[in-house]
Amino acid sequence: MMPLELLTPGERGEITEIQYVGGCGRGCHSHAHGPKQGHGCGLGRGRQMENMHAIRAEEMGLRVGKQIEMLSNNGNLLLLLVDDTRIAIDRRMARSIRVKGVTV
Amino acid sequence: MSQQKPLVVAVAGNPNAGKSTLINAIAGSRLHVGNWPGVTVEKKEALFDFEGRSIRIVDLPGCYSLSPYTQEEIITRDYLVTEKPDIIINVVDATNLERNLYLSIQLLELGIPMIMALNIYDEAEAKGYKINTKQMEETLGISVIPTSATRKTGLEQLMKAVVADRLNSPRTLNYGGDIETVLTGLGDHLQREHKGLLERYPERWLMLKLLEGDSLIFKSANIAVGSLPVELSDHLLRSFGDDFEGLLADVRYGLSAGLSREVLLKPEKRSIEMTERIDRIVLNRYLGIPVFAAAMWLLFKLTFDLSSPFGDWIDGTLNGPIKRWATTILNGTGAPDWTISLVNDGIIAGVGSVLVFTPVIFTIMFLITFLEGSGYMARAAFVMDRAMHLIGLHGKSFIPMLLGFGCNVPSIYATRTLENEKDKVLTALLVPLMSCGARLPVYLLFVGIFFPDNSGTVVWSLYILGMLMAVVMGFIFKKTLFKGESPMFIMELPPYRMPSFTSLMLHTWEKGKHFLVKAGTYIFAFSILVWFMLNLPWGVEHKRDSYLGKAGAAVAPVFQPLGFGTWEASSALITGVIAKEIVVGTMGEIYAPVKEEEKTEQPTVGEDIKEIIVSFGGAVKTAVSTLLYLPQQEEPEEEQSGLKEALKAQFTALSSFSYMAFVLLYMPCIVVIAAMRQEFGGWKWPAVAVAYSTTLAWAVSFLIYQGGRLLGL
Repeated sequence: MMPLELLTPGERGEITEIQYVGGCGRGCHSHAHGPKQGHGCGLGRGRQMENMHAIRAEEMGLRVGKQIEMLSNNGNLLLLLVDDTRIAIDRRMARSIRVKGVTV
Repeated sequence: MSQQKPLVVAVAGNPNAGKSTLINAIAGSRLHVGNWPGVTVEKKEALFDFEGRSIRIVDLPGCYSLSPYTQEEIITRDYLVTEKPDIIINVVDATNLERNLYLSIQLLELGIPMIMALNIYDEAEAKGYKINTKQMEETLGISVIPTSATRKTGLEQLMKAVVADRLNSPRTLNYGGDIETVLTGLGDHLQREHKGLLERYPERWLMLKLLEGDSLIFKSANIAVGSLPVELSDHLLRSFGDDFEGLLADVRYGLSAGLSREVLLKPEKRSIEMTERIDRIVLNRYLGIPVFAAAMWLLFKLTFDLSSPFGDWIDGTLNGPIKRWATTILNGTGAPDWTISLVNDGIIAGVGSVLVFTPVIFTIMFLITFLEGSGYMARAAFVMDRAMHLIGLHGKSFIPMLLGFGCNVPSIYATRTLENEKDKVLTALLVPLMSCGARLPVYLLFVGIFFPDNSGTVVWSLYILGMLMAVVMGFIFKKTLFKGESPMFIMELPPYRMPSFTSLMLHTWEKGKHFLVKAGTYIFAFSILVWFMLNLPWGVEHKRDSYLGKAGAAVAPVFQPLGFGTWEASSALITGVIAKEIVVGTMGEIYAPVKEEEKTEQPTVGEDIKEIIVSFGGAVKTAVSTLLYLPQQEEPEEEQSGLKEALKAQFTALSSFSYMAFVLLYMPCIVVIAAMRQEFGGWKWPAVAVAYSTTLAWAVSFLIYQGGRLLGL
């Protein structure tokens, strides 16, 4: 189990945990029958933006259990191959994703 | 004959699934592009007949899901739920089945008849993928048709399936015993308490949204939060916790992963594709930036070499034949002299100064569209990310900024490609600091007079000054107006593809049209206004006594500490708001009014037309020869000695530099302001831009002039 950041180009890993900054992992979705905090309401700011990006990441394929391949890992942006999609994420986001190494 | 009511076909799919290429291929020139009400997201529609059936096809914005988190998703689901199209074409990227199916599964929840276009099928086959479409059709209950929009295969079958009477009713997928039990209970409750809602919304979809706690739905359905019987979900709550939205997302992900596993057979070993090979060079940590710089150099080179001869041609045509024709026609109708002057010096000159830029705008838009369509644009953003962090922006903001050196107007529209509203606005605010092409004529006029020996360095220093100010202002904005941590960055790098020529032309035209229409109307109005300001009160003898001259004189004291507190310089700045190169024109008019040249012979209309055609041929020749580096004759520069003498008398080297810095930084031209208003819906951000840039310009010019004087310059 290690941060995604530590994979070197060419290495593969399986996502085991996603803990986005601001506590926005899975638990940030709104609550059924009582979205009292007004989650998910329109285009808000702050947490809402974080939330949106976390959900976007999931929709793009960054989910627990997914296999990913590191394509490029230098500078602020990392390039990942998830399924057949190339996804660039920043280092801050990468730090909150944990993977276990997978041998090809 | 087509039926009375057209069949409404909504096209939905992920970004990069080839949706717009598919629509272009189906509808072609019948496509009408507009905006969704109230937002700047494009709406494409087409009305046409297929096999005797009238069809209205509506393109929905590309999205990854139907959650309510982005404008695109909200537009898509609102349209589907309230407009209830007859059928949905779900465009799916066959090379990326699992992710695309996530949206498909949500579309199925709506219970609207659906057909799946398994697009980019040719690439999937080339990769060795085998997709069992038969099994997909059985599982989902809808037709699944392999297509390739770029090769135009499968489109006929797709449209045939659309008009066929075959029922494409989606199957209700089982979301698991626990959830289904809750849904049944919820259905009974709605049946009893909110019967009207079931007629307004698709039943299953409504229940799922209520379960997810989608506050937009609670609001529009007018159900009080918490009024639904809690005991329904008690069981679910105990076994899975209270994150029902997450739970349902997991169920849908599970279904899409499961289905994709069942129907898709991938080759054992992943082959190294072309995209990966290109990326190894283009995204290389050492080569990336040089490759990018070369691409941008080529972009500008092509733009200006190709388009400037045509700009000159438009200029020549407007100022020669068009003005002569206008004069002749107006004389013929017995119009007074002032009308002729208004039309010629006001409208044609004013609108013309903008029309001159159309070739540049269209060429640059064409090349940008090409870079976008090919997939390189996303790479450019990736490569430039580090540099952009300096001003608190992501790499994606780099493209609009770069375009700004050509013209700020397309840059403002280019901020559309940014997802985050904050990034969009901040980028648009900084764009005017990029010295656009219209400011160059002003620099050239002054450096020619005051810095003849190092003109290049001075002009270059102004470009640098603008960029430096962007870094400074970016930093300040980030600390004040746009506080808070920047959101996390996530971006898809689509595979490289060759964009189709028709879709390139269509998008270029759409982008360019914005410029033509908006710029045309604003400039037209302002040109008339300025002409009146220069020529009123009636029969004004000296420009100084015109309203413009008086306005210039009124604001002149403000510029005193900057070294150019004269009414002439100030008046030129006022008109420069229309477009900055007008500063030069106004100065010409004020300092050295051109004597009406006595034309002995007027060319005939025939000669004029011949001249227009011949000069167009000349423009083509020049464009081609510059492109191929063929030697060409230098054109003799126009003599403006009167203006030069006058400027020498009023400016020093120092005050001229201060003036140029002011022209660079002060409020953006009205076309940019109009574009900002259009993009951000309201006057708030245009007002902020005008206020900060004018203040900044004053402060910088003040520092330059007073600092220079202290140093004894």
